Amino acid sequence: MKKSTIKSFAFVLYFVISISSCDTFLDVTPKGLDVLKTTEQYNGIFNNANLFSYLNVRNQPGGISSLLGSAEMPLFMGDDIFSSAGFLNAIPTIAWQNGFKWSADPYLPTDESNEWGAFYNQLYNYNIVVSGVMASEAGTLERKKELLAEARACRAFNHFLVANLFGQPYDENTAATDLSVPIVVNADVNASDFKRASVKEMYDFIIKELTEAIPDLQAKVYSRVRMSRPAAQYMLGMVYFQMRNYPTALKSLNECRAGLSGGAIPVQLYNYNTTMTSAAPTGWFTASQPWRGASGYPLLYNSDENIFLRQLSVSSTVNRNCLFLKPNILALFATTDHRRKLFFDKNAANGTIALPGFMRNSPTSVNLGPNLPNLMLMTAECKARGNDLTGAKTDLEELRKNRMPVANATVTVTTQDDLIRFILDERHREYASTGMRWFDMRRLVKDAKFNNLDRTKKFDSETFTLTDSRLTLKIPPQILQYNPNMVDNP
Amino acid sequence: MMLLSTIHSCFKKWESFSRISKTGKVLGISLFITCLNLNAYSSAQIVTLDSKEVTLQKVFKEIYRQTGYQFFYEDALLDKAGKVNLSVKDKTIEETLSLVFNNLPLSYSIKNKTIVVSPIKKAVSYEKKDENKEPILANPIKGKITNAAGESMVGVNVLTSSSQKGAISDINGNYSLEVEAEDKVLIFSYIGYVTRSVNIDGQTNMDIILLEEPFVLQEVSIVATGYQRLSKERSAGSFSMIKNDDFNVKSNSMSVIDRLEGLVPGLSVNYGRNSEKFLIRGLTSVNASKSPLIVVDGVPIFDGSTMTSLVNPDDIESVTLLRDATAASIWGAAAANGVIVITTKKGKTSAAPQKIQVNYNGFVSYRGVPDLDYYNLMNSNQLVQAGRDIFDATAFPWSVVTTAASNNSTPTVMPHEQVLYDLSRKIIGADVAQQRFDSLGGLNNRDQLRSFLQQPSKLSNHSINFNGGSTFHSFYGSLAYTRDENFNKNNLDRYQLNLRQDFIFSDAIRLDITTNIAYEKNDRFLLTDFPGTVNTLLPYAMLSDNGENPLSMAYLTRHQPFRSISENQSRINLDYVPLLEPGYTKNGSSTLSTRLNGGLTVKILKGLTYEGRAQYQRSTLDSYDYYDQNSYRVRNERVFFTQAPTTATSNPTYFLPVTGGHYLTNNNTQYAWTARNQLLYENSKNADHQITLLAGTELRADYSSRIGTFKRGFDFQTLTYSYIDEQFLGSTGVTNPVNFLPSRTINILNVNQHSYSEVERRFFSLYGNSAYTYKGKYTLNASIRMDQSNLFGSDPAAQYKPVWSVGGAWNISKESFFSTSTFDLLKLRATYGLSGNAPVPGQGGPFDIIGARNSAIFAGLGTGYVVFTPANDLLTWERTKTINMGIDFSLWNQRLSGYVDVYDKLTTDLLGFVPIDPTTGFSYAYDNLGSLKNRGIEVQLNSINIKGKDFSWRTIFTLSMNRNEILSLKRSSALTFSNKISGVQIEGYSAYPLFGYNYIGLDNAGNPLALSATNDTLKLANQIKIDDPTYSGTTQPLWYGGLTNQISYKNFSLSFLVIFNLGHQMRLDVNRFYTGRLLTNQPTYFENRWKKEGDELTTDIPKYIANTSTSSTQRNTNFYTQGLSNITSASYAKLRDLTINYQFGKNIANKLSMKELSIYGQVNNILLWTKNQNKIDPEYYDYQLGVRLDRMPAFYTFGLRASFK
Repeated sequence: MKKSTIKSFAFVLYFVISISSCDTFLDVTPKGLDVLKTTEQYNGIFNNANLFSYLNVRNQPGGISSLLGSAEMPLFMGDDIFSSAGFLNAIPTIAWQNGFKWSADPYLPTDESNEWGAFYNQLYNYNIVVSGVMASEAGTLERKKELLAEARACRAFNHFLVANLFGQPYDENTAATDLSVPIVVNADVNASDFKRASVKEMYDFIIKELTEAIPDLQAKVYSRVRMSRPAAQYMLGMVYFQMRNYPTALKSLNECRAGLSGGAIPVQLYNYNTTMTSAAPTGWFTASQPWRGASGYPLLYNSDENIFLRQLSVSSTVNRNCLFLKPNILALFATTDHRRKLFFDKNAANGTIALPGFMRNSPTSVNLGPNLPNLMLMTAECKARGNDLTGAKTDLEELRKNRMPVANATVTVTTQDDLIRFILDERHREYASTGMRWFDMRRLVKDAKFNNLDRTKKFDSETFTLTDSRLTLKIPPQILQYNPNMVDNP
Repeated sequence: MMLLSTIHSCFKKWESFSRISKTGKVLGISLFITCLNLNAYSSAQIVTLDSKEVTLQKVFKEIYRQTGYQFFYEDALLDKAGKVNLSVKDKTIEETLSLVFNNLPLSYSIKNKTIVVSPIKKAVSYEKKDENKEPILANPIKGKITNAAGESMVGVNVLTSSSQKGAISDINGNYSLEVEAEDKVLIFSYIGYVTRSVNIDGQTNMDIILLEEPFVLQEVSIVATGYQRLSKERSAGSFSMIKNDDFNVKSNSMSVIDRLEGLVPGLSVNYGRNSEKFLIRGLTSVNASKSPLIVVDGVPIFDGSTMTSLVNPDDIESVTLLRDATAASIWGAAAANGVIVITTKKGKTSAAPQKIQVNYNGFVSYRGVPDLDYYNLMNSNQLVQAGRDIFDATAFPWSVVTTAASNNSTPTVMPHEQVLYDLSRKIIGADVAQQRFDSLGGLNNRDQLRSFLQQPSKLSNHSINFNGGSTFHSFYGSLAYTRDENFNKNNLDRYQLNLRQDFIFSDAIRLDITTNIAYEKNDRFLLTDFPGTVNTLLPYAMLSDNGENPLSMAYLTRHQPFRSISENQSRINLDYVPLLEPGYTKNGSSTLSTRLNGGLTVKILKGLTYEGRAQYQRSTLDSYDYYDQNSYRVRNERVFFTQAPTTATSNPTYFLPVTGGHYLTNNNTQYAWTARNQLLYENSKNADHQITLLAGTELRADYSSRIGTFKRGFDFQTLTYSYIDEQFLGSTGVTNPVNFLPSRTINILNVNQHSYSEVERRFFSLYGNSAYTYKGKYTLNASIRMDQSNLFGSDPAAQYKPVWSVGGAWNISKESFFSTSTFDLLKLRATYGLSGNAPVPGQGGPFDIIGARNSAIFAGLGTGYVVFTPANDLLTWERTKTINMGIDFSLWNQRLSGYVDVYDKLTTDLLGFVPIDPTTGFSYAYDNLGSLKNRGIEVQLNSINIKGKDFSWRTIFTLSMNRNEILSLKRSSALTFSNKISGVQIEGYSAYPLFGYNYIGLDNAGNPLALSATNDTLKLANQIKIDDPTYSGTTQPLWYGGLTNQISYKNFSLSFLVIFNLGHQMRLDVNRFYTGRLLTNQPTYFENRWKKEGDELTTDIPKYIANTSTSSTQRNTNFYTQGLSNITSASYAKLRDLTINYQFGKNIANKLSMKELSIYGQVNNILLWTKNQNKIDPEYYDYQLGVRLDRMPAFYTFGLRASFK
């Protein structure tokens, strides 16, 4: 072998060897993508706008998310609205049309089960935080515990919301055997054959998660899109309220109320006496265009009245053009009540097209999560049911003073029963045509004395009747297809 | 880059090697000079030497260094001469030489700058001869040695077969030597050329032509895989090679792959919309990449558009298509869709110094503008009439159409509607209305569209290439300029520089370096905010008055009273004059692409070669668009973010800058590098057992980044911008704006002012390939490859899944029992192998993959993260198994040759989004979702029909058949009838299925009826069941190919290509306007709709119903538009190109100082045969939707090719 050949051979050998050590070569993390490592990355999981809205979202590589649908069923299934064929048929989602009609099988076999998917989709995020945050890097123990508590509280509330669609309403006597929805505490896309928990198991789980989370959460409201201790106390109170355990509910709700002051951001009521009597920039109401309603109402994540946002987004005004307030509900508003101005019998865009009824023109979205008006209405009802009529009236009037002239705000009813009924009417007035009513319907259906469900809806010549079974949605066919062993609702 | 620089430094070392050739002939090779300096020798002819005990080689080298004189000699001669002592100061070359050769048994001669060294005193050998033996003074044999180009070859070894006498050819290529009686054969050898043994047979004058050998085998018999060049004879794989001659005069595109259409079986080129443009053997993936891998000079190119930028088709030597597993599996996972290997031209080595060969190729192609008549649109009169016929003020009351609605925030009323409303509202009388209708009906904007918004499309290309070489160095370089003027007034200029150099250091060491630089400049015509397209614009909507003053078309954007209110409230002018808009914009875009490719070959031992190759490729794109404050886009946006004044005297509140425009920049950077080392063992000399073994490693990385910025209130002169409150505009929003954005109650601004993205992928691969041939008859091939990558979030262990292939070939024509003179070649081939598609980085693996997403809503709460992909450790690669069988044949001395291939491809574990139980937290996850198969036949026939002195005729015919079927596919939800109609992939059908309703005609109310699968009559959409849409075929051609004929007669040659695509189907374009307002132009089919009872006997077109909801509750017009009766064959054949070439005679060319000169004219797309009766050109058509696209007319090209003396 010639000298040059040896040289070249040695060179080749060097070359091959130098390349063979390639472990570090392949060890690069693509920018824009990451895996969860640090505590602050876990914190970032909560900073996702999809988590405060009820949207069934498909996430795709590159961070693009496409909307599969939104979870608006509670609005359509309310007993405070009516519609007519031409208007209801314009709703693009057949399941919602069926929901409006209280049909037994609202979802088509081909439908995305948005009301189910939206809540479980969000659960995935909370579950990865629960399973990973305590082992994450570069965070203090206190911070990790806070994020763990936030994930557990959010997870509990999501279970509460989905259980109030597809699980049986809470009834102390039958909770151990009534079926709720699966409790999902692991982020695993390969999991299968989910089992429905009993209503008791579900509520026990929710209460345990919230109770254990509360001490570790930030004590004050620092953001309306992040969990805080008052928000979790509200949630716990709302859960007991839904269970009709009013004294326990009141305890949590009072704790929430006490914690609201002194935070980094204000939690306070808007005074409609100002905002609904003036136009922008001071107010929201343009007298010359009454069909716009409160068109300048802040977006929900900016609204002072919200403690923590779990927003039911009504996806477009198309839906709004289809639903109208029942006349008897409209009749509950006093003429001086500024909340009545949110409704109009012409379309919201130009006020020219006459509608068959009064439609909620704005704000169209509602916060089903912790908010101050509902906190006050819940404490008032708890107090009234506990025969603290003075306390109840104080809470109630505090809200009403911000909704109508002070002179009209005084509550004049005197008996306990009348006061409770008045509070239930006030709930209608505050939340008419928002979907909030669905929770009251499920709570009051077993309330022997104050059951105020309106079980009929007129629809042109047709009449739809609500049976108790229809207060629980049947499991969507899409879900049953994946879980053939899952027991469906009657 | 480290690897490249290592290669470079390595060669620096070789530079110093004193002895580089074992039979060395030329000294003084310059290793790293650029080719342009090749002949710029030192002009000094004065020599100074002071050498003691040095070899002659060293002396020659020094003389060469000082003077540039080259020496030709035979090694053995110099060895005999031993070492010399020399001391020379400032002597001329002649003086020096006489000193050097003094007392040496050598003589020399000088010609030009070459010194040929030869043994002195030939008579000496005669003196030594046996006196007893009568010398057989066979006449000394003389002759001239030339290469294929007829150039003299100096320094060729001539050796007698037995007596081992030798001679060397002189500067004129002449040799002379005497032979002994025992010598029967003369052997001519020269480095880089095929050694020839020629029988003497008593000849005394033997002129010999030596052919280049190459480093590479002869083109006809070899195939390039990108990793190696194999004798085709010894491969079982399915390859097709197309040489430059077959595509270089095609002017349809500057992308070589476009030009391959019809020339090679297996490759389908699809022009219709919504189809994959290039497919090799159908499709092998549903969601992963479907396009073939493109390899240039052995290295995959980053993406297809870069290939077009960097590689001028003129510079391409050949293109090889790798189709089956054996051909392609060396490329591993990336090869499932087939591989296109492009080899660029290189210079030729030459024994004698020769002039640089310069060639020019250029063409100008005139393409015109799209054919507006192709759309069958209404003229103004027809449109106005249609508008009058359907006007319905009840369905669309004036109060509604002129008021903002949530889905139409800026109401518009078209001029013809305005007249109708004015008439119905009794603002004008019938006579005035008639006048206005007449004046609208008399307008026609087509000429204006042509002259203001379009330009004739042109493509021109000019390239000059030059090549040359010596024994040790060769080069090929080119300069090219392309200008592409699109009909939409966008222009592209491209400048390309290409230089390939080959350095032959010795028999054992070779190096090649290719450098490409391309610069592209784009200039766009920004006609912003033009509503609709040129094709849907109302025919009376004039852009300019007859005095050529631009006209306002504000009626297209806001209705007049509404516009005035908006203008008064915002104090912003909202007029819209399209022809002024381009003047309010500026734009610029340029791309610089570079490629550096180097390869090194070192013969280490007998048969064993090391090959290294490295490539670095980089391209950067910089572009900007600027819309100044006068542009409609900027004014209009500002209105949405302005609050109206609350009182008559106050001012509006502006939330966006009131001066300055929109400035958008975009900066893309891509780079990729590859470094490869491989060892190749070949024992091709062994006749019985030929073995080729290849093994190597490869590193590959590619990177791309994109930075986009968007500034509002930008001043182009001072390069400053105004601040806006992003947090406020992006989260709180503007309440009570002058105009609402669609579906908004508070206007929120999309404040993404900057965008960044970056992707980096890295691969490490090990590969091997082997070929064994026994007695030239039986061949076995096998290959294997493993790829590992930084596939982020996936388990590295899961990546070591090798792809492999095996194949066998039997060359029957070499069998003794197969003795026929008919067949030159008959070979059977069969291969089987696996390839695949890897998941894209970040699409699934054992970890949750997150991406940062910030939103103004979460300001101050930390970076937000979204789960992009949930963890899924059960994910595997997409795998394609291919079986291929083929026959290669050649008959009657290659008069007819070709091959037939049959294949079956089964792809399993298709990657894609799989529906999963939403209860898990994800309703979709990236997973393996199904399988599909492709089957097909490919035929290529080449025939030389006539081969005469003056007249020849050659035909190339290619034919491919491909059928595919989705075998299984998980769906996100149960299949719906509308899925079927929309053409999604469905289990049991072709990958591109076309379904239709069984339309049976109109009822007596003019509404369409269809028959269900159970023969019930359907009228409404909600009656449709899943089985009702019927499968009618596929939109992918089943049969495709081309027929090329090349005819030449004396100096004329004619060639033409007919391409054909057969067996597929398309929806017809039919009337689709059945309800709503007439806001855009429509095809004239509308006129033939059902209008009154009885029309159903003469027309199939449903009636028009003004009210949209009445229309949808009464009938389903899709029964007609998507009916089976409106599906037709999309089969067509087209005369793609016809070229007439004239080659000027030698004497004319010579007078122009040219070696060759030819001119050609070409017409493209002149003849079309279609099976449809509707004058649809399937190349300008959307098969699935049934929509006509911009159709370009036939186009004409003139080209000139010259090669200079």
